[in-house]
Amino acid sequence: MSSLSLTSCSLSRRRFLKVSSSLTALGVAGAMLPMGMGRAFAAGEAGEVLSGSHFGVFYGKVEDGRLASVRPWEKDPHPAEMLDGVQDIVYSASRIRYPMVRRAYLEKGPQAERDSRGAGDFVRVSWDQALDLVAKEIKRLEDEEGPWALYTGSYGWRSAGRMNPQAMLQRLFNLMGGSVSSSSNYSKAGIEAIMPYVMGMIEAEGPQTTFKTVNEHSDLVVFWAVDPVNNNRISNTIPSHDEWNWIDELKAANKKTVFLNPVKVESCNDLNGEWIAIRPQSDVALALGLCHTLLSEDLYDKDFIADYTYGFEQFADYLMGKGSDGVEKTAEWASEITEIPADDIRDLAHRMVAGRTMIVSGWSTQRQHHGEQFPWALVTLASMIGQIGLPGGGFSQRYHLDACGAPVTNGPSIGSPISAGKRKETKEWPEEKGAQIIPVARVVDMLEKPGESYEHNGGTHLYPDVKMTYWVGGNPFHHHQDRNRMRKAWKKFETVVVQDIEWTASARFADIVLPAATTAERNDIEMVSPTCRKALLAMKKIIDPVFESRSDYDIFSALADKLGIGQEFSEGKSEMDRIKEVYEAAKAQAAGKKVEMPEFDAFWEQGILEFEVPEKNRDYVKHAEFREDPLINMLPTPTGKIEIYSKPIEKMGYTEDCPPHPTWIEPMEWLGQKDKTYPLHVNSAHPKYRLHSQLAGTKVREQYTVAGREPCLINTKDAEKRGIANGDIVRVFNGRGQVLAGAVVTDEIRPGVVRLWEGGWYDPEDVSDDNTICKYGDVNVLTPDIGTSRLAQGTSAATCMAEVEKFKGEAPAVTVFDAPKDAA
Amino acid sequence: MGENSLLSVSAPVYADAIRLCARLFGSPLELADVEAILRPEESGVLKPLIRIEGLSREVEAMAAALVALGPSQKAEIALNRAFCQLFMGLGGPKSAAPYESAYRGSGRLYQEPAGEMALLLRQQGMETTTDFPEAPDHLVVELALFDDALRLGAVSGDESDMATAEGLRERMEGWVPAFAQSCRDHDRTGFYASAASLLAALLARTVDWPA
Repeated sequence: MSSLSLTSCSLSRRRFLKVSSSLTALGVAGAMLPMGMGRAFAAGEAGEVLSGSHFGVFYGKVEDGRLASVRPWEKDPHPAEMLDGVQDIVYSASRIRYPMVRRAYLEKGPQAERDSRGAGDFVRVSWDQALDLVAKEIKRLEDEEGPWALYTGSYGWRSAGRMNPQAMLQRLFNLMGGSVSSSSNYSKAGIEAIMPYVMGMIEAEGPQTTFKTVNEHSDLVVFWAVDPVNNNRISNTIPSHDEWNWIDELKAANKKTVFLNPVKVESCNDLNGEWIAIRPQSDVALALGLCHTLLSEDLYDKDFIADYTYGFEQFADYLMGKGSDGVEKTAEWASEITEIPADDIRDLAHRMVAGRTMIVSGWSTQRQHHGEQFPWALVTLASMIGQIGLPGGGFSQRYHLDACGAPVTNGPSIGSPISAGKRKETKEWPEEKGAQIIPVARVVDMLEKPGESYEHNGGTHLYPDVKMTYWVGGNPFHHHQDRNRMRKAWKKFETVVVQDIEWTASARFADIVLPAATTAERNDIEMVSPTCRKALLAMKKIIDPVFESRSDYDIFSALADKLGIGQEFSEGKSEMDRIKEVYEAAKAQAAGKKVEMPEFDAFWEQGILEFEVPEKNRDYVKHAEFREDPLINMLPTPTGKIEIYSKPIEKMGYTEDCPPHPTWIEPMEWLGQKDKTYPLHVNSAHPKYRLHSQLAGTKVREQYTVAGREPCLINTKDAEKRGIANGDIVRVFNGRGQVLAGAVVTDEIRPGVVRLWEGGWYDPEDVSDDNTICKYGDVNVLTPDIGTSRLAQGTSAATCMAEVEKFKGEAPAVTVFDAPKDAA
Repeated sequence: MGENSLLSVSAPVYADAIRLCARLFGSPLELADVEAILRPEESGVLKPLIRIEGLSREVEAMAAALVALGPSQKAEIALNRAFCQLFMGLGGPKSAAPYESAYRGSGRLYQEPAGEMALLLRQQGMETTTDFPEAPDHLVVELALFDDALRLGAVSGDESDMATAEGLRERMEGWVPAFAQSCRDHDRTGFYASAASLLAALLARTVDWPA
């Protein structure tokens, strides 16, 4: 054998095993665990550990240090089908195992070419080297440019628990002198912007009228663009799944339910509801048609309107055709837009005032162009019905998440263990350097238009000129719209750091990738069902971090050390110190309410602490106090009333995209438009078996993929017209991009509409091609990247038209998770 | 198993070949590795494989795949990209996860095979090196332990050492063909697909222990 050939390359040198360092302990479990897997195998003794996830409370069974299986907590009334995904997240083949740096970046730093981002040419580096690179770039930009050059608007649902890595990120950058951050979210920016003007609060937050009162008092429950069964599987924190009891009770009570939705959703089927297949994006028109019926037939509650609302006269004028458009919003007018027969609209209006009616809406109708209008129209309709503040009446904008209709317990609220703090003003931030906070969904606009002005919620701001971003616990290459535009704009960043648990599309398009531990691999604390505060959970570490992953707190602490702010960042506190602090604060708060909580150690040992529901809370009715006395309990709006007309919005002058009362404004693209180039509306609802894109990289995907791809629901007639059969691979495309998907031909979707769940991982065939096809089915390749209006500047993902065709030829190979199927 | 199962390879030769395979799958190839592989057969690093009868087709396929990738530097990048995609998780559904657990049972990583391999490593008094913090059922861990067991058995003649080696060979023979298929499905370079096919063919051979 040539000595040259065997000594000049790594093939001749590398060793992977060594003699164990503790031979004397042979046979003693734990002490003899091989070093590499020792970290992964030595965490727990055999047994079960109670912990939690976005999918529920669960026991993790540990065998030889491995998370061998999970089973739901015995008090979960309806465990989510995807709970096994918790195990998949830890042990996914897509797990980020080591710190990695894109080769070009490693060689040339921020001056490296950016075209090859996403091509997968990464080099494994040590933690030390990776953190040095990150620290060097942060320092360079803070010193040479300023905080306006760094974007930390990192957004995403991260992993469950109070140890929020996004707060850690903000804290670290604030200590360094600041950065550009973001406001609001991709879920409900429209509601968050408009409702404070209408109700003086974000209605979709906090406790809602309890499910119990709905069951006892409602005669009719209208589910408007919402599917509570589907969405309540997950939670922003840890779901209790208590809303399943409500669904069961509603069903048992044989309550009349109506579902206004282009898709016959799971809840509609479960409740045997009446499905009215409304035309997408015409919801405001339907609400106006209903309002007009109530007004013209003198069926509305005049007392409620007079005592509890402001600005009805202007709205009534608009309904009756006396507004600037001169169009009367009759049922016939609404029928043309919604494609619901006028008689059915009138009938629904009559039914709404015939008895007690609860109108439940979701958020998709505000994630569309002019999305601020529907929530406003809904409140106006509910006001005309006049049952707001009555048991089982009025409206709710959050029955589909976090069991917000469950009664609130006597438990304390729980704080944050990490404070982002305030920016250390190492440098002045001149106005011409741009905004310190941008609306989160406008990130691509910011990248494309540095220095340009934009309007938002009554203000005018400049987009800053950012050079670096650090993303943690989120996947912008999932949740942002118009993927091809975004890919191009992303090149503006000289440095992209992603800290995550899996190789998401965002990680693949990064320069520096840092492997984070999952919740199963670290300690944390969290409330089960955050609104009703059902129980406090000790989220114990089940196993040690696998591979070279580290907890977010560990990573940020190490990075802070590199930046010379280690002590300021950590304050000398460990992860457990911070968890304990949160608990002690909650305990003190509980004591104030005469609720006793055990000492921390006892709680930690116990694992979960359930709280009691005070009897009065079971019958909670939102706005009951306001209804009882609107003067003493006035709403925090300028008039103290529900504002059907808003003077503050009038002053903004957003006449074209957000007028001062609920208004029908034609969206940028929709089924009613004249141009039929792309004749199908694309519905991008929340997926059944994922949390947005979380779990897309796991085996849970096998429960729903079609031909190895995201399922694309298409109506039987639309499919026939296109020669598409169930199970076919289809190409969904428009002027913005194209994706492949697997056809599900069904009559449970309205003709003219197709549905692709949001959250499918972006899978470009050729990253160098600007219009490359996504082989897996990321719907945000197709959706437009425009703001809802100048008010919210939220996402308009639900405004999307496309065409579908049967894919011809050999489809690019995306044989999802077929490796196990090949196993012997 | 096919015709290869009729063949056997002497333990020391087998060990050299297995060690080389472990290194091929253990980390991305560096520029010097690529150049070493491209050297003439007799002086190249693939020599331990060439001298095993019946593997020449796969060895040639590996070399041909490398040549097709162009100049060494370009080849190094393409191979690195393939390594990341196939074995480091970047490929997601297009991966060829190098873990036994991925091909047995539920397909999740760190399952029973990992537990079994952890126990076996403990019994053998071995552990992974600090820069290779991998699951105990990682392909390379199994290969490395097999390599050691082959060498030990060849020298000691101890039946338990030989049984360990035989057990590992049979173990890998059970799942490496599926792994090789995944490599063939997803490796755009062809190099790792050929290397994995070669490994599967090699593992189909029995060990010829010294008398």
